[in-house]
Amino acid sequence: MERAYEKYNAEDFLQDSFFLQWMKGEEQAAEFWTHWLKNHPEKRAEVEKARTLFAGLTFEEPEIPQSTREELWGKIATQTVDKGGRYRLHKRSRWMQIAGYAAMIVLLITAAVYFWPNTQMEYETRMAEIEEYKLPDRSKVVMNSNSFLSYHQTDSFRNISFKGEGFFNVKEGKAFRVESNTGIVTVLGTSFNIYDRQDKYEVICVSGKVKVAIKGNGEFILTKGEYVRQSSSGEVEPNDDSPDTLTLDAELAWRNGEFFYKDTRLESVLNEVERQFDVDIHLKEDLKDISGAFYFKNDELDEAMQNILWPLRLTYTRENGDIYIKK
Amino acid sequence: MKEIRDQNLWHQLQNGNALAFRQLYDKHINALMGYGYKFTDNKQVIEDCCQELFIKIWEKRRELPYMDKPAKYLYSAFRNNLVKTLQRTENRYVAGVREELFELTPAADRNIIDSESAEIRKSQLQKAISSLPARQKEALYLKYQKGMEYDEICEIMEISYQSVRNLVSRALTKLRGLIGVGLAFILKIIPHL
Repeated sequence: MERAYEKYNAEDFLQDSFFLQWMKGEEQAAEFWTHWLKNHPEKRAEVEKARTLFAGLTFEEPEIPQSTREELWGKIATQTVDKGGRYRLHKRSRWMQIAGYAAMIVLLITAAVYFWPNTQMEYETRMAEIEEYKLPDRSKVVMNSNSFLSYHQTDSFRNISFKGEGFFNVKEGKAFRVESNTGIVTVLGTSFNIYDRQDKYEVICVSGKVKVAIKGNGEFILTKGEYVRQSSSGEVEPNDDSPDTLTLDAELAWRNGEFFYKDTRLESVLNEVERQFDVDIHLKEDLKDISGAFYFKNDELDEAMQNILWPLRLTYTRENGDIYIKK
Repeated sequence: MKEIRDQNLWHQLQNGNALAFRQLYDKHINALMGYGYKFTDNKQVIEDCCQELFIKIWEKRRELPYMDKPAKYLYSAFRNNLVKTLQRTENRYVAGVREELFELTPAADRNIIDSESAEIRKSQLQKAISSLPARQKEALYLKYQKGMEYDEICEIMEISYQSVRNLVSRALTKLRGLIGVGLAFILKIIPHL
């Protein structure tokens, strides 16, 4: 943290973001600067000037009357949200649910067969962990919580077994394969995101070209921004030649602890919350199939829950560390 | 009740949630209008620009990109529209050169109980600040009043990163010079370190 602060004058201090944190009253910054000033008494005058200037840099803001805001909102609303076309929640049909359970059982059996005797290198992220690992060929992988990666040391390093969610940035070279429960991704040098959990299998191509073979469902070639997804009921998307491109920034935001969902089941989102915060969430049957758009960040549980449940107007309680979702 | 984050409001809005749209409006309308009043006193123009902004957001919600800082977009789109409108409607040209306006009034200092010295101080500061060029004032406003980072300010003002830094540092140097001379005496009443 110690920079060339001894040489700073008042203007320099005022352009330093850490100094401004102190001015805004942040505790950590205050602690540092009080201590620093004790060691640099010769800078007191300059710092005093900066503080004085900072205090002078607050300006008057007009009062906007409530009536003005309401009136203006009225004008906006009549031309937007009140024109028709309302936000609606989707419900899944019953048979889709049953198909989902069936697929889950199949996946569980596959998972049981999956474990090999241990002559391999392993990386694992636990609940509430997101980690970046470097592979021997200098390819990189960012692994989301509760994910597992392994490769045989004797094999080429570029044959990976994988579970969970990961973002791969692959160094160019010979074929790089990532095999998970549901499919196999093959690339030469590129970056992609893979998600293989109970609720879906999804591969997003972030750069270059990716080949995805979904077990029992054919092969797909993806280029930048394209994805292939298989739901727990076995439906594959896109199912025609017009692959939807995704908003990559939003899809990859999980690496910074931010999660965006579109048209996703509440249950899937809450499963991710369980992984991110290492917490148990109880959701009643009749709420499991609600789906919609969701967002949360993995730094504070209460805030995350609030952000997820807010659009559905649901609430929750915490009992013995567990979370119960309520209407 | 925890706050619903801007990113979430934006994300919900993009997915057609009217409630999120309303909440985004409520959260930012005061600040946007306040920003507008620094450019002009014309209430009608400010309200029209806000109205256009929010209608556009709703209409284009599917095409607009994902945003980690929706507020930055609100400020920049609003400013862009406002400045254009003002150029069109008010004749802001003096001898062929565009005259820029950005008016700032220093807030009264609550730390000073003596109203007379508060008045002197305010008028001194007022004088110093109003002598700065409009763009320097705007940069100071966004940086210190709004607490924005340089990279946000440069997108809002549509100038380079280095230009923003220059604007801020020139303005500070000038104000500091004033403090060095007459103001230091009046401003002494700041709480002690």
